Amino acid sequence: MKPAQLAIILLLFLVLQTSVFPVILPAGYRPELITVMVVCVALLKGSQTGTAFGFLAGVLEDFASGRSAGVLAFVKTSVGFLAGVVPSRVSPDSVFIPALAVYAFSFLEQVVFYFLAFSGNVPPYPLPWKELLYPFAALNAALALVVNLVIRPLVVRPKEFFHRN
Amino acid sequence: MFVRVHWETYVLLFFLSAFLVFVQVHVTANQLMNPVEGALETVMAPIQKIFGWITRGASGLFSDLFPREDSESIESLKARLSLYATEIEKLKDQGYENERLRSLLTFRSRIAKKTIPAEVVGRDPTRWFHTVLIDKGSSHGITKDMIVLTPGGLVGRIFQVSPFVSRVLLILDPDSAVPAQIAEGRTLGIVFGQGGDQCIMKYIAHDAPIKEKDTIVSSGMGELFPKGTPIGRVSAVIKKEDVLFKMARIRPLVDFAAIESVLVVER
Repeated sequence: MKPAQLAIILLLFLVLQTSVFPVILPAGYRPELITVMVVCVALLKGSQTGTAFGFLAGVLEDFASGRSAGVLAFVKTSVGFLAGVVPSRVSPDSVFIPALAVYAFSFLEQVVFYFLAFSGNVPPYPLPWKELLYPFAALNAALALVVNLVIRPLVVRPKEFFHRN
Repeated sequence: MFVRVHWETYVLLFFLSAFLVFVQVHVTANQLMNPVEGALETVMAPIQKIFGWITRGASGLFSDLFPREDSESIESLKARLSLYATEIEKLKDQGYENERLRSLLTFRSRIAKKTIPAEVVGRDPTRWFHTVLIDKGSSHGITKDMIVLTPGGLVGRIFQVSPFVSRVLLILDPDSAVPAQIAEGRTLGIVFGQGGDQCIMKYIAHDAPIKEKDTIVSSGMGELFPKGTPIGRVSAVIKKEDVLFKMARIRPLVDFAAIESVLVVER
């Protein structure tokens, strides 16, 4: 694994999410690149790495938000852990598994965050579950195809990659 | 063995997250960025600023350069044309920036209090909260609860400060509440953020005269937001029978997706 390169990509994704997407994309059509990356890393390396990477990514997002009060660290840690369990049951080499997993976890993560983020108070607006399923989770799933290709060489060693195939 | 280590890591990180929740809640109560957060934002702010410039420049350039012809005989002309298009785009950008800064200056001179101009360098990474990061902090004289404006109207208030950057709570955020009134009358209410692109004005007297397209301004109550600051226009009035108050949907005057420069008003 190449942690330095992964960290750079993580920071790049955070910058894209905080300063580029809000300018060029309408509100409902902004993907969550960090979640996509956490799920992809967890699928390739398993729960332990997924958990640690999810935690790191969540802490970074918490700092970038200033409003989420550690909830993102908790939610992303959980996503990293749960997504890491998937490879033991299905093939991690499939092109579509990352997309499907990202779709499911993107939706799940947002629902959990919605209920945790308002500090136990009644959320000020209803859960936009239709918008979360489409376009939000669908966009993330589409991006997973690309993100998985980008981070795969950084996460899986060539030998390991060869054996898997 | 693998499962045991696995769960240990998970439990450890879970508690670390819980600890972070505690720290963040404590820090949020003091309205200060914690040192790590402040340092991270200070490092990230210039990068975000550069990305912002590139994004805005590129999106303008692409929209103008997209239509193309394929004939080889006019290759050189095409090259020159694209050069000119780039030049025009640059000039357009400069003209736009001039216009924006001029309107900000004119607006600034209209405000009686001293103001600090700032640039928006980042936004909240989540879809649920509405905050922006500006490139001025306590070292530039910014303190918490200063209000933030554009020539369009009220943007929000400063809610977290570090030496070089500050975070602004937008009026769209669910935690934002602004005492308000109709500009042409005395109908009072409170404008709350709803998380979407509109706000909602609550606690309007049931018999108050309020209609669509009415302009809503801050009422000055609570002394945080100065009286008369434009907030938005009424897009719909929600009236239910047997309820003491009615509500109104407010479309903010500020285009929050496009804000680049703001003015922070000193208290």
